[in-house]
Order: sequence, then structure tokens, then C-alpha cells
Amino acid sequence: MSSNEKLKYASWSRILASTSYFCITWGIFNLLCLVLTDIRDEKSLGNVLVWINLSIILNIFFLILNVILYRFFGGDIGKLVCGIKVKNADMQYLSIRDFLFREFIGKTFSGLFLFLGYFYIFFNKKSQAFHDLLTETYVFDSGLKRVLLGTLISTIFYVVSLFLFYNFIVSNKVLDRMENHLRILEIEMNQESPKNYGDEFQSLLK
Amino acid sequence: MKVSFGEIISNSFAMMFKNKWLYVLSSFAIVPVLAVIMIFLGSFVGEDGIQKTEPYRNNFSDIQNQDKYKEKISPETAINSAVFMFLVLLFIIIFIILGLYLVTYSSNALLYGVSFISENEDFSITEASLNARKNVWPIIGAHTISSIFSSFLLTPIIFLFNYFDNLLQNDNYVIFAIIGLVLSIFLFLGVVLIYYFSTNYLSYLILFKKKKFTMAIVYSYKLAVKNIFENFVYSFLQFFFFIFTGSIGLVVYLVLYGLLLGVVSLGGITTLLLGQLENISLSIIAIPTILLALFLGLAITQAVQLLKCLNSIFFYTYNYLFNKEILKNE
Repeated sequence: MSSNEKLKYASWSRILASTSYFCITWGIFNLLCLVLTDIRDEKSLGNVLVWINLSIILNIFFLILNVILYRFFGGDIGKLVCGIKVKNADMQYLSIRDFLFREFIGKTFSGLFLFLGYFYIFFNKKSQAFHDLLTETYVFDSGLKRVLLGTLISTIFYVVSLFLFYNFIVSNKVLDRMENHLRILEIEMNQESPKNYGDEFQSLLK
Repeated sequence: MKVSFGEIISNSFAMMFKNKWLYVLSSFAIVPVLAVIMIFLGSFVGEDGIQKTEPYRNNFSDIQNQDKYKEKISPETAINSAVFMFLVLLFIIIFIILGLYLVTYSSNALLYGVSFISENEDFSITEASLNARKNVWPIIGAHTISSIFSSFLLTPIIFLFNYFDNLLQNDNYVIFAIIGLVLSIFLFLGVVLIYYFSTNYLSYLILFKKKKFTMAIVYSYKLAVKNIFENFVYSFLQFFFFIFTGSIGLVVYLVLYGLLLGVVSLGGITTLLLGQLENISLSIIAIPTILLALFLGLAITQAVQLLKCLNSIFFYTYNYLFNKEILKNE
């Protein structure tokens, strides 16, 4: 850890870091769904199960990743992108035990009483939430510019992933529907006398 | 009597409003550790639990045997379902362990918080938390071993009870069987009560007397037997207080819940009536009703939570002061 870093207690920037974390993790989820979803029947039971399993597996993956990131870099992806670091009373990064305690036990306490524990950041001199008080940890940020930049990048990533995911599904659905209709038309053309298909094509393209 | 219960109870009541942080620490110290362990063990090994799952298992096998379901489920879906079931099971186990840890930690932290305040020391939530964390597993271990030990003691008594119950059918041994039954009932009650009384001391011995958990179990049983009368009075008063706070909680819950139902039904009726008039938008009534219902819903949960916190602060202060008095002369 370099001693030249200009660090100050982070308060509102923590909310942006959480937003960034949300954007990055959901962005990755969207991109993976893009690959794994069966677009022919996107509402099938198989797909729903794939999405649920994927979210559970990703949660476990991010938990392990966060343990490593907190231990060696002082924060999760969202915090690191925004230049926020979590340290203990000795100004060291959190140990695995401290991290697990802070995440699971400490944050459960913070969530109680209408999330009062999180809002306590704004009423505490050292910007500590309940989970920071219980684990004796401090959260520092490294300036406004870095926080805003991190949030912007992660938000763009999320929006792009969302756009790709829905665009992919919608475009494939239209193609699939057109393909089916063409197949039906082909069969009809072979069986019956010719008729005007112009209107049907027009409605299809709409 | 060794213990002045009047003083303990008045001090415990006073403690309920002394420090705001006690409410935070008591958030999850609601269920006694013992109960959680019993639920945990009972759900896995209890005969009752196995019986409860029987109908579901039969239903599941019926579904599996039906051809129409076999045709519909593709291999991919079956694999996904298996993975899903495995992950859900994994999460349930993690959730149970987490719950056990949370409850034990919260009760430890609350006991430390109470000790700081009753000894007039500077209260620090961080210090209470850090001390509590160190002793979570020893306390879980002590409670688990104590429960297993008492189960070992209870098993032969249950067999004895069964034996005398069967003997009752034989006309030649009726009196002998009745005496045996009464004795085994008393023995059973004795073991259960001493086990229950011993659990009152376990946390205090580990946290404040710095006993190792094996020593704490032995010592707690000794204390339970030695102070049997005090234990009875302690438990009776505790039970009385639970009934008292439970009644208050029920009244608060019913009043708020009644209000909630009233608001929702009144909103619904008004919406339906005004819906007949075309020029009035339904959202004018529906949105305030939903908002009010949400507010009342939150009020119910928070009021119940606050009462639970008050209850647990009293419970743990009472426990702390009682232990302190008992162990003063030991």
C-alpha cells in the first residue's frame, strides 16, 4: 500500500460504488445470458433454470472474487473502479474472516430497522456504517473525479450489455418468426393456387 | 435466598432504555441459542421431520412415474433441475449455519454490552462486537455438546418409560409398573430441567469467567444442581415476563394489522365504487391506499422488531445479573 495515496473517509461515494458494483455484476450476467439462452424459446423452463443457476453460480463466483479483491486490493470491483478502499484499524486490507463477517453478519445488522445502519454513514464523523463499527473498518475514497469516472464507466457497461441482450433476443425472435412464416407460405404455395401475400409480409415486417 | 430477584428485575427494566446501541446488538438475539440448535438437529434427525416429508416424497415419486412428465422433461432440463436442487440445498445449509452464528454473536455482543453498562464502563459497540466474535464457536460447541449429552441421558429414560408402559398391560405387575412410570416421568423431568437450567450459565461462564467450553459444561451442570431453587424462581419469572411482553406484542400487532386490513378494504371498496364514475381516475384512490398500506406494513414489522429487541435486552440483562449474583460467592 503506498503511503502517498490521498485518502479521506468515503460517505456518499459509497452509494455510487455500490451502484457500480450492481452495474458490473448485472452486466456480466446479461452477457452470459446472451450466450447461454436458447433464443428459439426464451421463456422455456430450461432457460429459466439456466438463468437461476447462472445467478447462483455468479453469486458464489463474485463472493470468492470479492474475498480475493478485499484481501489484496481493499474492495470489490465496484469500489476498486471508483477508487474506494476498505481498511481495518491497523490500516491493512481486510482478512478473509473480517471480510466474511463484515459482509454477512455486519451488513445484516445494517439492513435492520429500515436500513438505518447504512444511513448512519451520514451521521458518523468517520463515515462508518453499522457493519464498519462492528468490524472496526474504515472506508476511504480518492477523490470526486475518480468516483464519477468509475460510476460512468460501469453504467455504460451495464447499458451496453442490456442493449445487446435484448437486441439479440428480439432480433432472433423476429428472424425466427419470419422463418416460420416463410416455411408456411412455401407449403401453401406448393399446395394451393397463387394468392396475394403482400399484405401478410407487410404485417410481418411491422 | 442467594439472589435478590426484585433488584435484578428492576435493574433489568432500567437497562432496557439506557443505551441505543443495545437495540442494535439485540436485533438477532431473539431466539435462544439452544432453540436454534434443537431446531437444526431436529430437522435433520427427528422422526417427526421424516414423517412430515413422507407425503411429499410420495407425490414426487408419483410425478416421476407418469409418462407424460417423462416425455416433457428434456435431459438438459433434468440436469438444470438437479444443479438447481443441489445449489438450493447448499444455500439452505449455509443459511442455517449463518443463522446460528448470527444469533450466537448477537447474544454474545448483547451480554458484553450489558456488562459494560452495568459495570459503568465506557460503552463501545466495536469492543463488544470484537469480544463477542471471539467466543461464538465455543458457545455453539458448548450448547451442542450439552444438548447431545442430555439426549444421551434421556434415551434410556424413554426406554424405561416404554418398558413400564408395556408392563402395565400385564395384570400381575400393575402397581410395580405405575411406580416405575411415575419414577421415570420424574427422572425425565429432572434431566430436562437440569439441562435447561445449565444452559442459563453456559454463555456467562465462557464469556466472563473465561472457562473452556468443556469445563463450562461441567460447571454449568454443577451450578444447575446446586442452585435448584433459585433456578426455578429465575425461570418462572422469565416465563412470566415472556407472557407479559408477548401479550403486549399481540395487542400492538392486532391493532396495527386491523388498521392495515381496514385501510386496504376501505381503499378497495372506494376504488370499486368510484370506478363506476368514468371521470374519476382509479389511481387517485389506489395510490394513497397502497402507500398507506405500505406504511402500516412497515410500522407493524418495526413495532414487532422493537418489542423483540426490548424483550431480548431484558432477557439477557436478567440472565447476566442473575449469573453475576450466583457466581459472586463461588
